[in-house]
Amino acid sequence: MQKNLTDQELVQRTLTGELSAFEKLVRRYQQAVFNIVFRILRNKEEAEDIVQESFIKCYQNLDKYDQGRPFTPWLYRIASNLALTRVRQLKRHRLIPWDTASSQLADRNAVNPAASLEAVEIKQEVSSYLAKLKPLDQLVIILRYYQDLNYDEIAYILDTTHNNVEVRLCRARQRLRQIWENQEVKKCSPAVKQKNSSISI
Amino acid sequence: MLTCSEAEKLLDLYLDQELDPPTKEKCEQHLRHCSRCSELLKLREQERETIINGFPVPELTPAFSKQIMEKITNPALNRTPSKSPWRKNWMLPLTAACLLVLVIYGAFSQGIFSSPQDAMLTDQNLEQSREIANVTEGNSSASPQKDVKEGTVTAEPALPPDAIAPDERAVNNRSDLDTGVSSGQITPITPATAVFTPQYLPPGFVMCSASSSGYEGKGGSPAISILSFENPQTGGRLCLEIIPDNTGAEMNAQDTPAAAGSQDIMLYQLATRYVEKNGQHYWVRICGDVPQTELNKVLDSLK
Repeated sequence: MQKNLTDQELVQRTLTGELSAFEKLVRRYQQAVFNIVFRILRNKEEAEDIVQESFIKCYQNLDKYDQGRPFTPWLYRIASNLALTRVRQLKRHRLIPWDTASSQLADRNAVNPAASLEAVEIKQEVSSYLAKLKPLDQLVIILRYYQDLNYDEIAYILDTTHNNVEVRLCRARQRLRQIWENQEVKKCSPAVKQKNSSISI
Repeated sequence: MLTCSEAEKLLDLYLDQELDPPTKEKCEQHLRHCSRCSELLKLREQERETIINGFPVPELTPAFSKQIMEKITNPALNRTPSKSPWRKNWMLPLTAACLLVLVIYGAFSQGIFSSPQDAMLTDQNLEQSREIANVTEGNSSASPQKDVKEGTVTAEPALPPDAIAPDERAVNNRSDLDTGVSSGQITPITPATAVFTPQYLPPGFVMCSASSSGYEGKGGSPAISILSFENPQTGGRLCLEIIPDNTGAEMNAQDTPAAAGSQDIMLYQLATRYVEKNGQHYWVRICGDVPQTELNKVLDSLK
């Protein structure tokens, strides 16, 4: 059985001209990169373009990668920067594509239509509340919750400090809770549920 | 021991596992004794779950990695049209502005916006130009010259009146320019063509058009003028170019030697002169499908 090569080993092999090694890196991380980029751009075609661009840029700049550090934060950094640049371009020109891919995905997999409808509503709400945050705050939430990265890794991706990430994340959470409550989607918000239950008691 | 408000602020960091060990210990100690804060911790965990499960992402197909690798191995595929919207946004107004400038410039240079007084002069000037053309063809008479002078006085001169020889003064009106007519009809003569009227033309040749380009107003550079001659019987053509030297127009250095060495068998001949008239220097260039000697004669006959 072939041993799974580490990211660093694959990078080294790529640098020696072994293109198949880079293809393994692409297959290993394409979905993870897509998860970040899609949640920022919310459009499948746009996200796919940015993912492709990210890997191409990664390949072209692989000699600049510091092999003493983990590979994924470096890759996420490239993808995040490209995605943020793109979303700013689209927002500036009011071309932000709002994709319903998330809800469509839920519908396709639906077994119980009623339960699926409720799940779709929740998903649309979470997605729409996140969209109300600034792109950089969205990215911090995405990296923390969906990619499960720690503050130091997020700081490296955003090219900022640990404390800055802590403050930004705290602010983004507060804003998200505020939006959640203001939108009166009380059934979805555990915090509001708690308030209601305490009042009823 | 932490208070409830202090512990509440630490809950997110506690869930993120970003607390240092002593603070984490204090937080856990508080949570063990405070049911309200431990309840809030559970709600924060649920909130986290809702967020994590609330934004699914479509799955990429395995073929996607192949597409990336194709683009890496074949960079030509990566040259997709730029999606940058800002280019589209400024390109359209810029193109429109450029077109507008061109249209306005073209309209003025064509004399579309000439004054009614100018328009009245046009017919008169056309007639005078025909008379001058007769002079060019060797049928000169004394009488038209008086009319031409009057035309010069009434029209706004493009060159100082003293820069034009009295017998060559023609109609100097911008509305007269660029109105080429067919053989036998003469276009109103432009300022530089008035300065240089060939007294000799090869047999059978008549002037067929005259045009001028450039701004002639005050402070503007004198116009570059082009006179065209045609032999209606043979279809032969001559083109006389008069270029004021201060326009910055450069003559091709190869023009003169090529012309000098050319003989009668060549299809198109070229001759160039550098002349001074009334303190103004000009490049005068003539080309046509006539013998070189004929071209030189035309240049010699320029006054």
